[in-house]
Amino acid sequence: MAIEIVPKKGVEIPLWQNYLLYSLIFLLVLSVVGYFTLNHFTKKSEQELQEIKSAIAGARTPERVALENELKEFRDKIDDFTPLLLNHKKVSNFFTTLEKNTHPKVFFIDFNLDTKSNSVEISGQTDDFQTVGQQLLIFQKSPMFQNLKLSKVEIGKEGKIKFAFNFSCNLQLFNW
Amino acid sequence: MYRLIFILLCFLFIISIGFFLIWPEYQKLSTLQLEIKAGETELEYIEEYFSKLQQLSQELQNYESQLTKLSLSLLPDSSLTVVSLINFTQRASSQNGLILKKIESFTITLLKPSTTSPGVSQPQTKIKEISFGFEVSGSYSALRNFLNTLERSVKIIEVENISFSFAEKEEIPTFKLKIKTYSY
Repeated sequence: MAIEIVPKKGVEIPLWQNYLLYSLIFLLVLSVVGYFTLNHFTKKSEQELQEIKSAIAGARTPERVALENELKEFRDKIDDFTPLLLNHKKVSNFFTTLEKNTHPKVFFIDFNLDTKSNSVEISGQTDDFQTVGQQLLIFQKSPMFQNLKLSKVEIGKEGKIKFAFNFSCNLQLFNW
Repeated sequence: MYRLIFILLCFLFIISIGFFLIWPEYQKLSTLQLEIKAGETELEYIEEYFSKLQQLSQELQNYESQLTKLSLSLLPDSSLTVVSLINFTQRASSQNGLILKKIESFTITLLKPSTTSPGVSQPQTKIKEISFGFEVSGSYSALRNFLNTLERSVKIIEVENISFSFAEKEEIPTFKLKIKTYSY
């Protein structure tokens, strides 16, 4: 009796499995290539960053730093000097104004000017009370003399009228 | 069956590569790009800054005399300033026809911020104030000239106080002055 061999039909693989497998293999290759590409760019960027850091360090040369320090020193001096200059008072202006506002018959004997408090104490003598009154009016009219006070009026030994004024100065008087 | 296992392994492998290799590398690259950008900006800023400094330095060369005066007006040493101030006072008084009769004690103090001038920026406290009192005798016009000399000085010399008294017995009046100047 002859034996017949009938070939067994192989199990058919579904088409979707093939597609999925090939797609996954493609993705796998892509991932590996992508990783190496990223790695390449990373190394390149690291090198670039290193170069920039060196350039930054090299930008501050000793000459440039010296120039910077020199200019900073000037800036500090100017900053220190400016407020001093703005507050600087021209005292000679006071005397010019006082001369202009002094009665011709008045002679000042004692004088004290304090520029810190802008206060003035001045005493003098003249021939009569009328001149003292006129001197008072002259001072009152001047905007440069403020808080005017006639602190003393008396007749001296020689018959002269002695008087004393206290006043404060307008700050503009000391302006340059 | 084997094919399915292979598919599963492939899938896991891709996920692992993505999660453990690609994502950290991408993060690293992004950070590096940001650092490069920041570095480029910083370098640009530094170059611009020094270029401006160079320009400023060239402009300041036009004001050399003023800067020299500035350096002279604020000497770095207060002791030197005291000596210089005394010498200056002596010279200026004799040049203007005054006789320096007496030098009173001087004081060196750190400058206090002023409250008298609102709006004006306050001086630094590193500046020292050197006050110095003295007496001179001479005519009133000599005093006026002396004050003008003080005002024209390179140094900032402030007259804090002036007082005088014309005593009947004395022919030549005596003027008492208190001045101050500044140094570092």
